[in-house]
Amino acid sequence: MPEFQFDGVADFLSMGGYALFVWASYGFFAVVMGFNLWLPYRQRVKVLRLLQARQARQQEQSPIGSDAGQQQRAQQQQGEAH
Amino acid sequence: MWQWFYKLGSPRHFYDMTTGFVPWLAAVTLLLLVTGLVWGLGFAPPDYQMGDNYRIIYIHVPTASGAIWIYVMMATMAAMHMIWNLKVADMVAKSCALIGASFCAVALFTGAFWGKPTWGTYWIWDAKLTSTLILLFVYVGVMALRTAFDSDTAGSKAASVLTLVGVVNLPIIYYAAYWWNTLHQRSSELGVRDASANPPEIWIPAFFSGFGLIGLIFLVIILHTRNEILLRERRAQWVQELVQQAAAQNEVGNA
Repeated sequence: MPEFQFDGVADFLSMGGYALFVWASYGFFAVVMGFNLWLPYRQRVKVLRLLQARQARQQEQSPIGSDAGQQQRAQQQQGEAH
Repeated sequence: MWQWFYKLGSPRHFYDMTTGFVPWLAAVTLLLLVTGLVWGLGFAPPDYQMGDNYRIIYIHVPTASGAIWIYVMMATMAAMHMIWNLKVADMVAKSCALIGASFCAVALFTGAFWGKPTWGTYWIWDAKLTSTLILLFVYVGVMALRTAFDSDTAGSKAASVLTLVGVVNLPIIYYAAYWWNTLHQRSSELGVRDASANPPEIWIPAFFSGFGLIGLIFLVIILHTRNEILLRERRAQWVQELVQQAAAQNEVGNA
């Protein structure tokens, strides 16, 4: 088994004097990879919301099968009868 | 085997096949990455010349080569889109651009922070560094060009053409350290290509972080492509049913 190369947490964080370079690199890496993973999840929510709104709109426009549409059609028929 | 590939060309099959695959891929990716990075940062022995600074290798090398291989995938998909007019290929190509650019940026950034203590400078117009910077610009250019058209099909075609033109940059990056005798060392001298040059204590963690990042590349591209499929196939019956199902399960919160 490989052994831990540092004497405690402070020594680990100091990275043998290269703390700035090593942690800046790993920090940037973590932020960018986190963003890479977060973005598609965020977009999935956006896409699903967009498509849901689109479906809802379509049901209003082509009223077959929806309650609102049936009322609308009934009103239209009444209007034509008069 | 061929039938399996053929099916991946259908947006619906691509979506269905990846649904069960994504959680497993995510779990394996996380495991490999955490193992590789913890090992590399804390347990691999320090380099006899560069001390602990060399630990940047565990993210620098895989992101740099990842940036190239993502481009190879993007170009292959662009070619398949141009030749066979394969819809899924274009969606995968579109999904490659951002993660490719981000890998390029990380490779350049980590390289700068490795170069400062080792070479004495964050940046130099070395052949390998410059050609990698050009790769970043090509990625950004492909993304910009795709959105520059009113019609999606025109954008796809233009992006495919630019992607294929940009392939000329890849061998330049890959062989830069051999063709020009500038600052960036050849990969074999780091022992990544030639295992005998460095002890296994150093390259085994790189193996883990490397495969972890390959997993992450595929994970992110698959997730992006799935979104793209839903968006482009929105008129298809199965997508409409899926959207209704997501609404019923309140997957996206209250819109």
